Amino acid sequence: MKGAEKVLNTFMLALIAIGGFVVVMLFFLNYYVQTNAVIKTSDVDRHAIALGNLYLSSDKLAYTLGKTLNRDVFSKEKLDKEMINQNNVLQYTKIFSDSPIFKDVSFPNSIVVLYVQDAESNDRWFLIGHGSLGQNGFNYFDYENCLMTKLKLDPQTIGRIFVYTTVFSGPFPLWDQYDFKECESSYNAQVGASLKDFPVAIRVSDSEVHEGYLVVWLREI
Amino acid sequence: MKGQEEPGIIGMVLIGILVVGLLYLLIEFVFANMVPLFSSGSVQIVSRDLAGLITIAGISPYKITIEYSPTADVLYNVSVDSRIVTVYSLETNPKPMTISSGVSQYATAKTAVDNIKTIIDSAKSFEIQKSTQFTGQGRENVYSVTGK
Repeated sequence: MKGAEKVLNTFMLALIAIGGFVVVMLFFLNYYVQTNAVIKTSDVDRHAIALGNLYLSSDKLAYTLGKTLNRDVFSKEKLDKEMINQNNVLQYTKIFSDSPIFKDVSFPNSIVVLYVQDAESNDRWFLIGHGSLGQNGFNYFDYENCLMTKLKLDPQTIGRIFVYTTVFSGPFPLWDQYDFKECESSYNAQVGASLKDFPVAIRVSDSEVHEGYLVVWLREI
Repeated sequence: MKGQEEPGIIGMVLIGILVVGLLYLLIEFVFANMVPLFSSGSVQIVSRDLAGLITIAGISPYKITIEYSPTADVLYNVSVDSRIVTVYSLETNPKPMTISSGVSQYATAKTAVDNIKTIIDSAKSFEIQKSTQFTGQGRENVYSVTGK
């Protein structure tokens, strides 16, 4: 009887030891997962901030005079040339064309939406593009096709574009969050996203400079 | 009496072995996965820092030089290609409590700017340079990463 009690006691002690280990292990696992999540989120945030600053210094958008580049001052002329003006529906044909802006500056395996608004005249420009892709089994062209199916060229969509461009303002007038998420989930994309805005001056003419802002929306795969 | 005590002693010894084994697993996990997240010399941190500094160099409108020395006693091999920075650690004298078999010896991070293709062997510190050249077609940003 005493021997059986000792075996039981030993068994209980072993259970307590294993239970204690599991609790400590779960504590570290939880800490590890949370820390990793914070690092990954801060990575995407840092990338979005860096991207915004790079675009503020980009000679494709910033006003230049000779060799002088005016960081933080966008040229309206360059915005009209390089980006899609939301007030001009015809420019929507440039949505998926490769832009030299993203060829110059973009993170690999990322999708970027740029949006610039003139706060005084309410002029708006936007651009969607991507960095070099193909890693992690993600095929951007499948993703693009998926987004295109969400952007049906029927009277309803054209009406939607018209309503968005004339009534609403916002960086993502053609798709909503559900469209992006649906396309990402169908291609098993692991996505982190960040949206940052930056104050900017927009040089309209020699004698006119407006206040405005740049929004960078970065989705990393 | 003595026969009755033996199962308890054997049990305690087995529990001791079990606890030591489990503690070993725990310490292995902590040092393999958690320490590199915070160690300034780990390849994860160095690759992230280098990629970030290369990207940030591009913000300067003209030229900039950034010096970066992650740690005093670890050598690194670095390659930068297609906007991916890969850092290998060359820890010559592994310390059992800091580098275990589970620790990754290399890590990659992304940079946003191009025109860099570099391979650096056995460097302790790095110098990142960005300059702007004016050609007939306009401005061209040139980057370089060197190690010493």
